Amino acid sequence: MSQTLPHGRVVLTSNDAAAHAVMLARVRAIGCYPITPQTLIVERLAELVAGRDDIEYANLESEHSMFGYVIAAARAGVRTFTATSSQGLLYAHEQLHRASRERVPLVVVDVNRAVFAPWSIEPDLTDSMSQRDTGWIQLYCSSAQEVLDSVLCAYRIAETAMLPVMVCAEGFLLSHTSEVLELPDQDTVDAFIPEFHAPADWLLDPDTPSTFSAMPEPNDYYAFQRNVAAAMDDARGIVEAVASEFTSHFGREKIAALELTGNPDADTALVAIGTIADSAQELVDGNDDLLVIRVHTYRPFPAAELSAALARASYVSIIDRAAAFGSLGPLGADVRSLELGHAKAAVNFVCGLGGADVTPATLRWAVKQTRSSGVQGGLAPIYVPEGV
Amino acid sequence: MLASQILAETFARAGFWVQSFPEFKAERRGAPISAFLRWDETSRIHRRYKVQECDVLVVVSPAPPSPEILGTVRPGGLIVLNREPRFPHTGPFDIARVPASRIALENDILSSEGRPMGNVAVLGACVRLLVPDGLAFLEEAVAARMSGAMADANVVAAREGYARCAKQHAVAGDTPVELSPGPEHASARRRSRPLFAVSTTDSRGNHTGTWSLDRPVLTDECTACAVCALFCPEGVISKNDGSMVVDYLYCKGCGICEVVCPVRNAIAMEPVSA
Ligand code: SF4
Ligand code: SF4
Repeated sequence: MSQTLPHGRVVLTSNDAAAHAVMLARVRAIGCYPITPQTLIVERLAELVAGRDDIEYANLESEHSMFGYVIAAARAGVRTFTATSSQGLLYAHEQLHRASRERVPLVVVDVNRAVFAPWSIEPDLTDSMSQRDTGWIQLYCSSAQEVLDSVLCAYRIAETAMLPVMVCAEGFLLSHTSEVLELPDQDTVDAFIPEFHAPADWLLDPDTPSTFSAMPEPNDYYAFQRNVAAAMDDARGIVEAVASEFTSHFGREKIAALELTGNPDADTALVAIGTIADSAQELVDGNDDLLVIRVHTYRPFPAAELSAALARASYVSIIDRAAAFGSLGPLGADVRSLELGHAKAAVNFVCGLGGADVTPATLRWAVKQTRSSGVQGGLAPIYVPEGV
Repeated sequence: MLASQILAETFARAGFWVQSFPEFKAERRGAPISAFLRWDETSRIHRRYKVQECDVLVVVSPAPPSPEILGTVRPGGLIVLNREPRFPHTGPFDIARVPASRIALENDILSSEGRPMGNVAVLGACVRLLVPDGLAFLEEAVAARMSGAMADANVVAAREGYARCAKQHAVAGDTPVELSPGPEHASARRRSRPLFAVSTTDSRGNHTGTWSLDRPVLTDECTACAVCALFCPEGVISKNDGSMVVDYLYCKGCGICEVVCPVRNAIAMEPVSA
């Protein structure tokens, strides 16, 4: 069990940080199904919820049912939480599409784990990145502090945008790693996250019988999808506003879309996501010609912010920890979709799948390849050889 | 894992930035694992990758560390062992010993299987060697992560470990330790990787017996009724020529056989010696 340390500092894993954030956010319904490396979140929540009759903690028989449970609970006007990893998220895939299209403000933590086959419990981002088109806002974390802060922000973002938010944290590299962080007190969080008030015509209310998501005319179906797209676009501003309010409210910087480290005018830029981008900060030490860009909000994709950040870079290395066989990596494809005409090279690398170690040496290798490639990028990513 | 978290919390209370993480393979819960700790005096730690070489190797298990594990220590590093007798090895590092299992026995700090849990006593030694002013922080960290009598006993164990650790000096006859294998080992492995994720051996090559801390030993009282064989979750007990045989290569040391055995003193769990 964790305890508060002097100066508000605590030592927690990202799994513990997520569980604490959920409690601080005054969640009322928690759907659970264990899967490594997420299991410790729901175990910690079970301990924290024990003896409280104002929170329903439900063990479901699968992740598919678990998402069905939190969707239904949210529609009853209740703030919810669930967490999963890898196969669990994939098993719930169709519920993910449903949640965004039904405009359900879920908050879910995906503790990233490689996907089968072969079996692995180690981290990579293929599980959540392969869900990027399901209409969820996705936030990728690089520390336990950011997991805690992002879960708190996620409730604000979800309930304002009426879209689900997935907070992603790499297994073991974050989930089981204990680090120092600031844990806010309940009053401070209460002042930041108001009660959940869903739109009345959206709520499931037995006194006003209604039918949800029945089969509309094609043009109506189409219009509903356009609404989701518009909500996603609006979410950019919401993510930004919530982060800046968080920063002033808690006195601690909350990254919105991107975190930039190093020289913003550098000729060389490295774009990465999750913990790889945190390790990349080491490359900036003593190197004046490098800008490290960490993508925190991956959906909605921060295209404008990235274009601005990359405006002066001639050589861009884009690092994916996810596979998208037959195309560029997910982040690579997204960054390459930007207007990068001024860049001499924008090369996409894939590395770190299934927990393969990604060290500063790996990243230096990628940067060197980009600078010496002399090509605009290529149609496929470069899979970094094992052990580099 | 708990030990590394307590040590992390100790460093944090002493004002350091810390990062601590375990390394899991396919072990079940309760099996011995490795965990890693980084600490920094000035800034948050951004290194999100594995520790390949270490400055300090802490061996909580009473079993002596393998040459591979010893080889991960950097020249000039420190090795802290849960051990009373001399460790008959030498190398470009310091060796410190602490009788942690004995301290655990003295203070009745036992696992549910009755095994002495020397982890906090070992931490007492680590704190003495790494943050000499940090004993109070360790005591606080223990109190924060444990409760009741367990916390009280472990606070005593922390103090005892702090007091009873000693560095050992090399003597003639110590075996020198080889340093870590070079990167050529990794590339040699790479060349032989198959195209499909199909193992070229069956799972019998996976000797799960290495996870066990205890093993069942059968005595003459055993009537060969085979109840244990029925309940063993690993199916590693069989009847051979009228008597029961345990295949220790795969016995995970769960002790279910001992619990289900209907005959007094027919089976006892004993610690696996290294
Ligand atoms: S200890 Fe467990 S695995 Fe080993 S023989 Fe007994 S029942 Fe089987
Ligand atoms: S259950 Fe006990 S008496 Fe029966 S075979 Fe096993 S060890 Fe022997």
